[in-house]
Amino acid sequence: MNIEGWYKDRGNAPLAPFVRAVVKLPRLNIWGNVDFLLDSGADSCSLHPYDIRSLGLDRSTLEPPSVTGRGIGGELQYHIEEAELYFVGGNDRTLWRCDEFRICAEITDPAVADAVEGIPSPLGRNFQNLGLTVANPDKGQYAILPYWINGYEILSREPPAIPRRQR
Amino acid sequence: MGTVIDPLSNDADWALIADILDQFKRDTFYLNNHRGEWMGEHPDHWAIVFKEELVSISPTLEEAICAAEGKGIPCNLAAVEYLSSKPHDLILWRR
Repeated sequence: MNIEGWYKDRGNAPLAPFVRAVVKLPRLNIWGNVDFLLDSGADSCSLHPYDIRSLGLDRSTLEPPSVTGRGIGGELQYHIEEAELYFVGGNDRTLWRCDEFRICAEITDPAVADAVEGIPSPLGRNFQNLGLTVANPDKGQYAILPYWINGYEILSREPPAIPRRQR
Repeated sequence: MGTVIDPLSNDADWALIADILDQFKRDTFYLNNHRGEWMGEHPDHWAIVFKEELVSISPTLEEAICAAEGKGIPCNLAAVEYLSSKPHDLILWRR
C-alpha cells in the first residue's frame, strides 16, 4: 500500500521529492493531475497558482478565503475545499479524502504573485503523517508507507527500530 | 483533516486513474529529461508537455496554456512547469 514519489532534478536546485496524484474537487466537478512537492515545512496540502490555472479552476466558484498561511517571507490567503487525492504506484491504490484542502487565493501584490507563481503545490504534514517516510535521493526513491493495510484500518503508529551501527 | 478511504469501497475508476497517472509519469520524466535543453533555449519560460511531446513553451503561463488549449490539449492532464534560469527558492518569497 505504498505511496510512491520521485526526486525531481530542477537543474539549479537540490533534488526535491514529488508525488503525483489525480486531484478531484467533487463540489466543483473539477479534476486533473498534480505533481505535489513533499514539503515537511507545510502544515497542510494546498494548490498553488499554476496548478489552479492548469486545472481550469475558477476562483469565483469558491467560498471566500478563510485561512491564512504564513511563511518566512509573508502571508497567503487560502480558500478551503474538500478534495480527493488518488495515488497509484504499481499495484497499490490509495484514496485520501482531505477535508481542508487549501486553494491559494488570488494574489493582488504583483511582486508576490510573480515570486509564488512557479512554486509547486505542497503536500504538507497532514498528508505525510499518514505513514512512515522512506527517502533515498541517491536512488531517486521516495515513498510513504502508510500505517494502514487493507484500506483504512490503522495497524500501528510505532516506528520501526532503527538498527544501531556496529562498533 | 483527512481520511484514507478503502480503495475497494468506492466507485472510482481505478483503471482510468492508473492510465492517467502512468501518462503523467511519462510526461513529467520527459519534461525532467529535457529541462536543461529547453531552459538553455527558452530561459524563464513555461513549458507544457503532453503525451511526451512539448506542446507549448511561452514566457507567461497564460500564453502557454492558451497555446496548448488551442491545440486541443487538456491542460488538467498535462505536465506544466516553469523553466527558471535562477535558483527558485521553494520556501521564501520576496515582498
